[in-house]
Amino acid sequence: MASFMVLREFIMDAAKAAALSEEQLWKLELVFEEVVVNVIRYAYPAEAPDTVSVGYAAHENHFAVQVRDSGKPFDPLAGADPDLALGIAERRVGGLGRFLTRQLASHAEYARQDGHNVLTFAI
Amino acid sequence: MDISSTKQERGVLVTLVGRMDAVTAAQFEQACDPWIKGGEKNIVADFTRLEYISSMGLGSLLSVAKKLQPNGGKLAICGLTGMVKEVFRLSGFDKLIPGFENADAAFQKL
Repeated sequence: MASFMVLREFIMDAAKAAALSEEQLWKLELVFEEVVVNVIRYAYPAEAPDTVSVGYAAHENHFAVQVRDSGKPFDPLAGADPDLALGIAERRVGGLGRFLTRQLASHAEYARQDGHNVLTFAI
Repeated sequence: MDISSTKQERGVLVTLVGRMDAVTAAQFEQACDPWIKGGEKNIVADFTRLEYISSMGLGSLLSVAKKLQPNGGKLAICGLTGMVKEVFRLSGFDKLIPGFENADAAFQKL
């Protein structure tokens, strides 16, 4: 998780410099955490010393982020939505990060390119 | 995240200050587990000074709620504000875990 904290600081510093609104900042921070934590947990299950790289582009109306990793093929956007009507006993702990990502990002897409997972999203 | 817990007349009050994210979320469960093992039924989490929550934080809350349920106990939240309130609404947690204005109101209803 140390690598996640470094990446988060990098992206949030850039977002603050780009003068995003308070609402855009928390949405960006949340979606970024959900995406990168998923990659760290699932694409690198053995804590392999592989690389995750992040990049961003600040546009007038949105802030775009790309997360690229060389782990095993993993689409963090795929999967069914959690059933929000279920009670405490039946409700599963997983799937919420993906759900929040799809709810909060104005755009999100996954591609497998040249042996890399590439996840692009915008806030 | 700073977390403290105290025994009250009607249950345990857990106060969270800061951020409940992938790095810190497990602290909540760790703070609640000894109380649950000790037979406490009701826990109120005070979110007044919680600035941020992610799905990992929600997962930690759900785990505690699941542990309390078999003993007839409940987890409640008070002081929802800002992005934390919005994430609760988006994820349906506002329907799952009862929310109150303050700790006194929460303990009265549990």
